Amino acid sequence: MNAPCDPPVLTVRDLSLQFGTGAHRVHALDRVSFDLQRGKMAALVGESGCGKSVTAMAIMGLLPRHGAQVDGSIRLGARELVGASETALRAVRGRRIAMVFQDPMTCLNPVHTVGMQIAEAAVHAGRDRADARTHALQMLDRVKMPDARRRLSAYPHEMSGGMRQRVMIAIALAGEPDILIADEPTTALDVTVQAQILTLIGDLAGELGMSILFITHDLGVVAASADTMMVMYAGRIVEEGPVEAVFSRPSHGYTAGLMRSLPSRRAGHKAPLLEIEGSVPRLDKPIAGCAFAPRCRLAEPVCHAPLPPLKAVGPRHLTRCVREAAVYASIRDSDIVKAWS
Amino acid sequence: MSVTAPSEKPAAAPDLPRARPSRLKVFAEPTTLISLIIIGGFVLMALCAPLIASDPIAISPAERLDGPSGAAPLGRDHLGRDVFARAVYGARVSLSVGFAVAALTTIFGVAIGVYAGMSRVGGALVMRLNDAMMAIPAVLLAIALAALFRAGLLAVIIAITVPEVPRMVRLVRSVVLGVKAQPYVTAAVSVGTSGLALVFRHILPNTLGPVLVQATYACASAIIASAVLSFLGVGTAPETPSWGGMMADARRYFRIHPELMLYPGILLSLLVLAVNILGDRLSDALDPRKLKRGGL
Repeated sequence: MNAPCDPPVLTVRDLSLQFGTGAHRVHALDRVSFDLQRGKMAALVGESGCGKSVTAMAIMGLLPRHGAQVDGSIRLGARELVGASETALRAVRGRRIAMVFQDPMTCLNPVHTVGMQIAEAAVHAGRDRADARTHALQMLDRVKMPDARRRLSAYPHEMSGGMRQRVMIAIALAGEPDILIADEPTTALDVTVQAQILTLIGDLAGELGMSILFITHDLGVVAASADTMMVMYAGRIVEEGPVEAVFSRPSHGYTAGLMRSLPSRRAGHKAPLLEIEGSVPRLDKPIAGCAFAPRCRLAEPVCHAPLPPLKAVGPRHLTRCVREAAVYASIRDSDIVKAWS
Repeated sequence: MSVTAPSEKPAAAPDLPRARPSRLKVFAEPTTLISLIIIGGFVLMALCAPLIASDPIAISPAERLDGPSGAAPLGRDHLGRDVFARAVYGARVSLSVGFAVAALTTIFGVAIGVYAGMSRVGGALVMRLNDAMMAIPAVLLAIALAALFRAGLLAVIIAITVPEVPRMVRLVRSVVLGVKAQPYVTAAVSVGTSGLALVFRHILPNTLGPVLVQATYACASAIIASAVLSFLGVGTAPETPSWGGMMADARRYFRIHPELMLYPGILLSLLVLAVNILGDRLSDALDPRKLKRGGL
């Protein structure tokens, strides 16, 4: 963060995504823009269905060619990924950008050994076949797989969820990508294993100088490992900034709502667990004003007016909230904000 | 991701390493073993036919419809031919038609089916043609095709393969569509796996189980179909010993010598049953997820 002149490895600008046509049209993403800095971990936070995963799929070019309309720009260095040919995307996938998926139970091919699956990724990244198996072993060692040599010839069903997620990470690392997209990599795992995998991803990013786009709905994970965060709601980024800035000065009604609903240790276990009232808006019509306004306790008529541009509330800390001052005032006394100030 | 396989999710995989169950274990099971022995027996019988039986074509009008004797253990038919020898040699037609049709159906069915599953426009076109083919009853189509060629083994094989292929195509396409939507295929694409590698490495191996079962069903139904064609007189040449032909010949003498029809019938049923059982057991064995559940 202290080298803002460094060009970002990945630049997403005004990325919009629509599924379907006519009455069945869904506006999944609305002008999403963000940068990924070299060697940093950026977290994309939001609840289910807010567009986190489709953002990842759009970057990887994994959205269906028919039925998904992508607009805007995703630039990897000088290369434009939106509308790129399948051949161009293939050169990017694995070698430049790799992805770790949410569910390690279904993302490994059941009929091949894990060694073969890691080696295959290495071969696609340009390694020759003879070398690939040794490389696979190195990758398994790197993700701290116990007894790696023997695990090479194991099948996915012979492994636990945590081990499989390590294999998924090894596969993603096999092409030595610049960018790793981790789409809720810990959601399907036990809490203790979650911590191990998080530490592993953090360590690897440091060792290999990878940039990481970490997709999660868990603010605790964000606080523990990310450098910057983007809060997403209904297909829009509503607040973004360095993690400490966002936690110490939450400036959007939705961010504040998420923080309020975290269980607090100080309040004791008798304290009610707060939630955000209402539910996520339907995305079949574009929303002119703030999408969160109907659920926001601080909403005023101005919130339903067409959205103003992002507003800076601190260095590199941006929000879409027109009532950010009121939001901050409402949450400034909470434990989390105090802890980060 | 939003895609999750519905029922395939294993409950809890054991954390400790354990010996990998061998896929060959299936061959040690009694049902598999018995069906293998039966099929092996038929193959052996077909191969060694000249050693165990006399000439199946030699006619001997004087001895027609004679009962069992030392020279003809199962008696003689209406032309005085050795029924035992004809039954033994008949396995050759059934087995070669069965295996050849299974192999050809698999090759063409998988190739066309994978294409139909992977290509949107081409796939739709192939499937409509396929539907049209399937609208014609298989036996009728086979009879029509067999009538086009000169009677012979090759004609029978082609005539039975053609109506059998669309079934395989339909199955393979549906399996490919299912596998294509699996998260591990998306995951493979995300590391840069390209079209052909995706098909051969990730999609084809996962269609193997259903294809194998369908191939054995194709084999079994081809054995029956070849008997039907022979029975109707459009199969192999009348003098060539075949079970279907034997039954056709014996039909006229059913009242006085029902056993003449029974022998080929029993052999036919036994072979078809064994092939079907083998297919089922193999399909279980080839699915690694089933091994894990200890279902075998």
